[in-house]
Amino acid sequence: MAELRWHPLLREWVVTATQRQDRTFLPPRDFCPLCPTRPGGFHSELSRPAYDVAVFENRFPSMRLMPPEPEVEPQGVFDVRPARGVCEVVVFTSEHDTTLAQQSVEHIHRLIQVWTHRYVELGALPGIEYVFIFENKGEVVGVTLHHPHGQIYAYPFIPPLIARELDSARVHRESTGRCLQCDVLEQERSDARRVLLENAHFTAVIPFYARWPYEVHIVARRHLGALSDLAPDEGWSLARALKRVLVGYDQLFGFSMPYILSLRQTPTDGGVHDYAHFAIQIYPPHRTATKLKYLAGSETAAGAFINDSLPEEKAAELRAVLPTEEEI
Amino acid sequence: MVEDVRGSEPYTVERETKEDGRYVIYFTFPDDSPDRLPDEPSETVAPTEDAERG
Repeated sequence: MAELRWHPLLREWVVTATQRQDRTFLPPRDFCPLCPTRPGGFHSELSRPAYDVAVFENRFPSMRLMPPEPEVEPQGVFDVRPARGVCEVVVFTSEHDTTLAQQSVEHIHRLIQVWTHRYVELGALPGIEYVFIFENKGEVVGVTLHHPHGQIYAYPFIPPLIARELDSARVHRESTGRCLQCDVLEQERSDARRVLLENAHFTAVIPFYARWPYEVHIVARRHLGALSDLAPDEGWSLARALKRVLVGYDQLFGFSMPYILSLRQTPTDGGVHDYAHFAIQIYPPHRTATKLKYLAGSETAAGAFINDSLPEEKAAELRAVLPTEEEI
Repeated sequence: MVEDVRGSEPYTVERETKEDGRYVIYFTFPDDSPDRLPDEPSETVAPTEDAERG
C-alpha cells in the first residue's frame, strides 16, 4: 500500500508506503541485489555479468507510475491521493567493495551523464513535478545495501524543503532582480573563509548558514538550473569538484565518510523557474570522528537546526585535507 | 515536464524488462571516452589567514 496523505498542519504531502517495511536489509555480500549476476551465482536485480552504470525501478517503491487507489477516502481536512511517481535505484558501478569517492573522475563524469539522462527522461513524464537525485551513504544514515548506489525519486509535487528554497530564490529575484544563489556565491567568494575549492566552473563551500558541521554545497558559478544545462567542460568541472570533496571527506577522519548527497535542480512541473540554480548539497552526520549529530528535539520537532560548530573552522579543517587538482 | 532533447550522447542505453514488469537500464560508455579536459585551475580563491589558522 502506498498513498499520499496531506499534512494540513505543515501543508505538505506525506508518502505512506507500508510495503517498504519488507525491503532487503543489509544482505550478505554473496546475496547483494546490486552486484552483477554471475554464472551459477545469486540472481541479482541486474542480469548482466558486468555494466558501467545501471538504473532500475525500485522493488520497494514509495511511488509508482500506476499506483493503487488509496486505502482511505479523502474526508474534511484529510486529503489523500494515489502515490504516483517513480522510484529508481542508480547503481554507480558493478564493483561491490568501493565507494563513489573511490571512482575515477572519468567514472564520476559517467555518472553525471546518467543522472542527466534520468533527469530529462523522468522530468518529461506527465505529472512529474520534481526529479530528486540523491545518495544515502553509510549505515548511520540508513542505507540497507552497501553496494555503491544512489536513488532517484520522481515526485508528483515539489518536495517541501526544495519548494522553500525555490520560493526564497523567487522572492529574491522579484525584489532585487538577481539570483539568490549567485548572490550567496559572490559573498562566499568575497569572504573566502568557507570556500573549500574552486575549479573552472564550480565552487565548493561550507555555507555561512550550514546546518551540519561538514555540510558542503558544490555550486555552479554560471547561473544554470539543471544538469541538462551543463556545457561539456562544466560537466568535467563538476566531476572533479565532487571527487575532491568526497576524497577530502574520507581523509578528514581516516574512514569512509557517511553522508546524504542531493542535487538541486529546476522543477519539471512546466512552470517558469529561471531563478533555480544548480547545486549539489552534501550532509555528513559526523560532527567528530566518533560523534554524530542527531536530529533531535529542536531539529525534528521544531525544525530549528542547532549547529554546534563554526562553518569557518570546519571549512579550514576540511580544506586542509582536500586533495589537489593534480592528486585526483 | 522537460523536453527530451537527447540523442548524441557518447554512451549506449539498453533497456530490459524484468518478469515483474520493472525496467532496467544499462548505460555503457566506450573505452575511448574523451579524456579529462586540461588546464583546470587548482584554486582561484585564496583562503584567508584566519581560515588557515582555523
